[in-house]
Amino acid sequence: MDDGSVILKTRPVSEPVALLAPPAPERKAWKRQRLAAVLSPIILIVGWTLLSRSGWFPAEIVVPPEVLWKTFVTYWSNGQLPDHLTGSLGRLFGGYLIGAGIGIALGTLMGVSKQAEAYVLPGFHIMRQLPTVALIPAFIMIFGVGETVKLVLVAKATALPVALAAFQGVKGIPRTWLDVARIHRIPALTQFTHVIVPASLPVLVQGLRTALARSWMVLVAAELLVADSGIGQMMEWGRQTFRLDLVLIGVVITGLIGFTLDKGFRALERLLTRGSRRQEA
Amino acid sequence: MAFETPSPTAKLSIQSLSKNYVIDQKALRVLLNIDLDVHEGEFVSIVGRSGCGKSTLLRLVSGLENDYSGTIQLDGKVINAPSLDRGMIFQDPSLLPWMTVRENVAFALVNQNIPKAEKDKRVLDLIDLVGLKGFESAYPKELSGGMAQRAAIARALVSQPKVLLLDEPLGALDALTRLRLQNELQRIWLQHRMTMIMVTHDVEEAVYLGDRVVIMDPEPGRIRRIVDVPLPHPRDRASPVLHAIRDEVLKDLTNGVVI
Ligand SMILES: Nc1ncnc2c1ncn2[C@@H]1O[C@H](COP(=O)(O)OP(=O)(O)OP(=O)(O)O)[C@@H](O)[C@H]1O
Ligand SMILES: [Mg+2]
Repeated sequence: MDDGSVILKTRPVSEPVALLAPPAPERKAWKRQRLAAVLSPIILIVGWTLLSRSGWFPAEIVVPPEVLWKTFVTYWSNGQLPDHLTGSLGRLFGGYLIGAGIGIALGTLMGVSKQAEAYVLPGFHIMRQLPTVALIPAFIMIFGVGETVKLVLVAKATALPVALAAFQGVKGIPRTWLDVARIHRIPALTQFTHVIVPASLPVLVQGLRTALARSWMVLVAAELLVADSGIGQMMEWGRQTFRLDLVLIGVVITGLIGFTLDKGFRALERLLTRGSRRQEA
Repeated sequence: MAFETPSPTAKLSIQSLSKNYVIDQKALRVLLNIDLDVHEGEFVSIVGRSGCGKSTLLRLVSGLENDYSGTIQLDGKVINAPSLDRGMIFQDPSLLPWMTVRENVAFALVNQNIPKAEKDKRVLDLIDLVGLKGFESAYPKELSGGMAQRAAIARALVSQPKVLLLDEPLGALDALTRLRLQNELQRIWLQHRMTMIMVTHDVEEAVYLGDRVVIMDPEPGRIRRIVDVPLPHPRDRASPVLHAIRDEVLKDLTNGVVI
């Protein structure tokens, strides 16, 4: 039994949130983790600087950090980099929203209807074996090289994991929760909004997070092949013109965006799960 | 067989109830020819080996399952769907973790046509009745197992069912909490005099609380015997009569079972 419940036995709770503050040892471990998270990029940058100073490699290959920084500032202030960024992020969020919508609808439907499950799920399991990037050539032939193909690819990369997460979320709802709703004759819509949605939300949100990370990777890969703007296209152009500094900036930005998206999502996840605390097993 | 009419005071009447589950296209006989009349305000305990269909029986009476042969009637009306006149408590409190105690209890009243003020009052009264005053705003994970089950009891009672079905409600609790909640259940039952049907694995508990103890046999689930407990409530746990009946039920239950 944890200390939380011991406190609870002796006095009524009016402020349950106060009990959720992590105990001291946990906070220490958390601080250590934060320190490591800050240190590791610093170590990487210092190592990179030393390597570029060593003269073992030509400056075109191991571009010195100050040159990278200068290129970054130039491309940022001349508006090219922001354009690439808005291009990529616009596609990402557009495709993601479409994919998430389709995924949630299909997954939930499969979760609540045995018939939908029987028809749709086998197809999903086959599709899952197929990496989205392997579909890029086929999709280009079908949708051309315009914006559509990238939206479709992102939507596809999103819809699949989201649908499976929504499905698992609904399937994983303890039977007695639904029994309780039926016993008290809760109307179907209220059952959906007050039981099915909050009960499956934690699993769904996890699926939404993995889907976002995956869609970002798929989008950058697609932009390498077909795009006239976007981070992927910028890197591809840098490769063709042998501007390794541009390529590297693209790599760093791709990583940073992936990282930020994930962090942002985790924050959102914490916010959501605060409202839907899971019962202890 | 002679014509059998249910006794006039019978509230719940179960006649030749049989239930099969189909597993791998083979029928599994879970209940066979169950006959049981439960009177208004009676406390009936059900004991029997694991898998003999006790939960299935309660689910049929609750209306959660409706595929059966035979008849189940409450006040002469055939049961085939859940209704607010039958409440149910499970072994797992099954509180919704994103709702507070108060919200969990109030959830049972969503489909009741009563004014909000009246609902609020009923909810608070019941939280008080089960001894959870001060914990209205606590979330389920902040409750101990016993407290969570009290909240579940409050939720089952708030819609004022005529029949309360309890499926091993105290099965997951430690011995001491269990004894305390047995007394609470008895107190609530005496106060409200609703019909209660409780499944339990604890023979002592079955005998202590029940007016009658139904002993079931497995494969297929049948009623082996019904034992009367002719003692007034509230009861004295130390009563020799109670102990004698307990020993008798225990003997009957283990009879024919190779240990
Ligand atoms: N939904 C179901 N589908 C198929 N078989 C089921 C289902 N529910 C129960 N059964 C079977 O019916 C039989 C009786 O189950 P039930 O849960 O009613 O037993 P029980 O007496 O409550 O057991 P326990 O004491 O372990 O709770 C078991 O053999 C079980 O496998
Ligand atoms: Mg059972």
